[in-house]
Amino acid sequence: MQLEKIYSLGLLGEKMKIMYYPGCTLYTKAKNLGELAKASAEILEIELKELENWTCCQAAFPLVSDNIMGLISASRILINAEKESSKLTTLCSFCYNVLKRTNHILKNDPEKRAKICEFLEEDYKGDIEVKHFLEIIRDGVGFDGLKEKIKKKLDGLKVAPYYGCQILRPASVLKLDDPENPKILDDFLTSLGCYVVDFPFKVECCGSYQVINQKAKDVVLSCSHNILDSAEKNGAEAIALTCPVCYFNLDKKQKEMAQKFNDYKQIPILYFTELLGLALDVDKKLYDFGKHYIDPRPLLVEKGLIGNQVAKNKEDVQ
Amino acid sequence: MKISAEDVKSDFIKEVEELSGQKVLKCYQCGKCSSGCPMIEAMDLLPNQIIRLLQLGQKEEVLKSKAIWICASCFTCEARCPKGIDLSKLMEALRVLLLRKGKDFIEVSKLSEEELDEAPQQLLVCSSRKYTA
Repeated sequence: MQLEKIYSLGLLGEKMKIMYYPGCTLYTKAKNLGELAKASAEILEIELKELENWTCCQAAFPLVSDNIMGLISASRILINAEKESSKLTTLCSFCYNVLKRTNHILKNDPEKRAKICEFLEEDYKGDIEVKHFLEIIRDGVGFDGLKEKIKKKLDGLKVAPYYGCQILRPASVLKLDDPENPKILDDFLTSLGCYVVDFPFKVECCGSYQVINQKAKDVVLSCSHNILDSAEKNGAEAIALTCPVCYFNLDKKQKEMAQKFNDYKQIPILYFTELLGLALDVDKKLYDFGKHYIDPRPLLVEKGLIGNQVAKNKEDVQ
Repeated sequence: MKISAEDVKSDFIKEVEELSGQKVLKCYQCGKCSSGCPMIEAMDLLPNQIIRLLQLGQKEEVLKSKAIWICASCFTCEARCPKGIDLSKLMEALRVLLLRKGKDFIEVSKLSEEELDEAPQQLLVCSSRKYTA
């Protein structure tokens, strides 16, 4: 067994501390993504420590070679995290993309590293490992290990895993999974007991931040609708995802889709951590179901995953 | 379209190649980038046409195209290009050439209240980084 695995499973009596970078939405718009990850991590014996004084990662990785300033805030996050642990984890796909790519530059581009370190007055060689929370589960706990911890199998829930773009590409740097045929979210959902619905749009872009560009709005809506439509036609009852931007386009924008597309059918969108929390039976008070535009509670009650009482608290939550 | 030797050997191509770190002449126009692009419906020029015009040094044509502002940097073309070109970097280089003249592509003050209220923060940060000088 790898040493890493032994540590994270706590077999040597000490858990490996992993620094946790929440990012801008995890305490606000994407509260369900963050809170349920933290509660689940506790049950899975993953010790997450939130980075102190964290700032925005700048959300978009700068794609031109001379934009060193665009790497500064992500570099500061990486440097501060490395002072406390050898691993940094995050949940939002955008943060993951920016942090991992910035770290790749700091590790492999000596010229840029020197400039950034000089500016920040730090010495850093890019040694921290940036891992998505899904990777921590896959490579640390293991999907078999996850299965053993499950208290309530999500039996009979038909879920389509939607990956989007920022978590997978560019695969040469992120190395999370195959960019065209990823498995990590599929395997994760399988180990929770879900019936995983394969569908052709799982790695298609939802249109991303272009949703507020007047000239691209309509295309973004049809990109997002295509994803929902394909998942639904392949038999999905819900979609699981990792990204707060995809969540906005796929959940909140269903309001506009209902007006625009005749064949629109509503489908609840859930963060992968919401499903994890259900399977690990975390306190339902941590859920803020009122944040969903399409309420997943009727589906979850029908499948026996939450009690009627939780569903009735709708007004309290909202 | 008039193509001259000066255009093809122009500094413009070198500038874009330097900013993006991509070699435009590697492209042999297979069209895979355009066939997989999710944003294609709203583009006036196809992604492979952007590269073709770049190869020919057609500065004005590419800089006036709407397509460079429609690209969502989803890296699907990057994953599929048989020549290993990261087209999203070329698109960003072209946007940057225009933005560095000090002109914004969107005005944040014109976004609707609903967008500002409901959109997740990273969406707004991304947009201001991609569209403003």
